[in-house]
Amino acid sequence: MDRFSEYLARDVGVAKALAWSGMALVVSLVITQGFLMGFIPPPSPALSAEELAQIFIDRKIGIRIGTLIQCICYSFWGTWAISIVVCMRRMERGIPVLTYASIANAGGAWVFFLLMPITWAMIAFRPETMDPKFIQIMNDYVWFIFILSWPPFAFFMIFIAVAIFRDHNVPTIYPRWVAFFNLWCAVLISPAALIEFVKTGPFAYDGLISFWFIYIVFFGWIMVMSVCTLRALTRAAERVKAETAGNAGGVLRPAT
Amino acid sequence: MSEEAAAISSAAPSVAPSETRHVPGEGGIWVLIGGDLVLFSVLFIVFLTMRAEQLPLFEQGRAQLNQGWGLVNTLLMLSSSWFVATAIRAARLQLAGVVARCFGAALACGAGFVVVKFFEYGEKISAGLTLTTNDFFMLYFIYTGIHLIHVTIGMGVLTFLVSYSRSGGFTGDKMRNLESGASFWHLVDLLWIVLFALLYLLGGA
Repeated sequence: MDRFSEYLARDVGVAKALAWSGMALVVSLVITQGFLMGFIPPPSPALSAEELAQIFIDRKIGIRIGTLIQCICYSFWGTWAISIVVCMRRMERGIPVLTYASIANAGGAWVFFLLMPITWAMIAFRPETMDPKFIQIMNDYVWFIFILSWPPFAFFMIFIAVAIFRDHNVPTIYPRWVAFFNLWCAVLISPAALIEFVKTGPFAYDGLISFWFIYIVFFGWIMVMSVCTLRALTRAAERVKAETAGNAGGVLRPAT
Repeated sequence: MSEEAAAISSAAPSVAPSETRHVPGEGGIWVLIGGDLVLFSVLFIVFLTMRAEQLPLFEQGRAQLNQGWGLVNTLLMLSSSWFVATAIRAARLQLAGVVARCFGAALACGAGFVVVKFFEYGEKISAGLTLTTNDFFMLYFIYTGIHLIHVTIGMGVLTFLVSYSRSGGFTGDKMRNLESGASFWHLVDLLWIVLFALLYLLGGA
């Protein structure tokens, strides 16, 4: 193995670690929000302020520990997204427009992930003395942040799809069905916008569509893209290794 | 034009030889179409479940819809699908002009659909029937709204196909892309047919 392939193997190793961090995010979500906080599904938006305050008083220890873990693991959104962006960079020739757009997007979307545990932690800080009305507003705020912030995530899905359609590599870095899968996910998370209008039923923020369906699609998307990215990175490393092996003279290689 | 039309209809039973069964478009588009059908299946089950729980309210809601508008839109959707299917047949015969015109006609049907929906929504809202009126109208506005987003995306695809098909040369990848776009438009049509039946027609206990 020469020096260039050695460097590349290390880069691919780091990129793979980033791809795995997306899996860690989803696992931490199930453990913290599901088991520690009991917020899968969310408390009904139709609950009274007092009923909701009681939930936060009863579960405050679980919520504090859960949000502590979430602050760490939700930061993985940014690291995970970059593992896809480095693959996108290799799809684009000329000006890497979609790569830049995705970096900006991933960096901004990360804020919404962290605002959730931070706000929950604030509610669980002194729930006994806080006015239940405030608790209700802050709790609504968390779910609105999480669900109503769907557009930047949908844009990222569309950027990935467009990059795959325009990929000049033969074979393409991701299989082409991944592009259609991303477009599908972008369309599917759009009903999230409806939580503004209703407090009960399938489109309320604890409902079958606005919560369960969108949650499963979104976090399923993270899992599927992690697996696809890991495979793409493995293929990329193998391809470069084969090329350098068949190119013993060392032409067509960046200076090392 | 009549010669072209005759050529198209004679090419109609364009079934591929039995061993190599032809799947329209590229494989990936079926991920999108299958996935979308999953979403709409969930939506349809939600509708039927809620309808069973509040039958009188849903019956009353259906009676307040304008079946006429619904029928016009169904005819527009069916015509647009016919134009798209004809465009694909014409593409197999390399008739670039016919292909572009047929996609254009399908696009016009799509635009007509949006205009009719605009008037229909206006009629409902001015009668005081909105998203928050009751569960029937919540589902009516949300489902037709989600479908309208599909129509808009589909019209974007058709607009692209009109200019894409002008240059002719329908082989290989180009034919595959035409079929992918056409398949998506057929999905938009199919979803409307089911929505029309569920919202406007489904009656009785």
